[in-house]
Amino acid sequence: MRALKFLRPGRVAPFSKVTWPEPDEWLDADGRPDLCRAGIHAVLPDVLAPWIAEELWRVELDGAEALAPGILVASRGRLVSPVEEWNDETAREFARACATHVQEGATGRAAEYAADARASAEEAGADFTATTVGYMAAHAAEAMSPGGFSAEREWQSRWLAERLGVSTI
Amino acid sequence: MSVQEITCKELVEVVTDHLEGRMPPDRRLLFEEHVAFCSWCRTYLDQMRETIRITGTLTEDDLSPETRDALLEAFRNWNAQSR
Repeated sequence: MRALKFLRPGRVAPFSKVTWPEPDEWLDADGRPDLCRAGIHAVLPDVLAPWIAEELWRVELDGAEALAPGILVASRGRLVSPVEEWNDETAREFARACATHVQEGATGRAAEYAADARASAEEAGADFTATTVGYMAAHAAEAMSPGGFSAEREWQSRWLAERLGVSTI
Repeated sequence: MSVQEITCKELVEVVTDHLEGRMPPDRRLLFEEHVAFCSWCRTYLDQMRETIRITGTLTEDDLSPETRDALLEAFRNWNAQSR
């Protein structure tokens, strides 16, 4: 099964710190797949936004289970190819899109969050700074309308998937 | 707060549960979502893991007698206070 995986520079997994092998070589997990505890984790395009890191890869999973919405956990996985479109430039584009999306009509607390997002967007890169802007924008959306946080994260993930050409993997 | 999330303060409170695998799956996911965007908490988590790794290599023989006595005294007092 195909999915997507954000990694730190050098193909390093952001949470386990495991270095993934070269593309096409399998990485085996220790233990049975268990959400955020064991197994090879990867995401579907509709939940990309909260998990941003420096590198984005298309991955193939073996024995994958969906243990949370949009999150797959497998007994083994391998890198297929990097998503070349993901870089500092598209990350900044993403951050600006997040800020712009919540700016219109924002008042009070929402406007403050939106302004923070707008200011931070100009410094964003292809790392946690981009997802931080997304986080601020999602809070602006929540301040405008209860439930807005999740809806905004979904919108951000769709934006990313379409811009990076990974809506279908 | 209506948004399902973990704040920095909560993360510090539950970090031991996370490292010892005692958090339920939905909280684990919220924990890692927070760490994904919060560089401060990521640094904190890395420091905790490194502390556990380093202290996990210590044996009783690695301690000087003075350090061992000081630790034993501290644990006795702690134990007495918690009764």
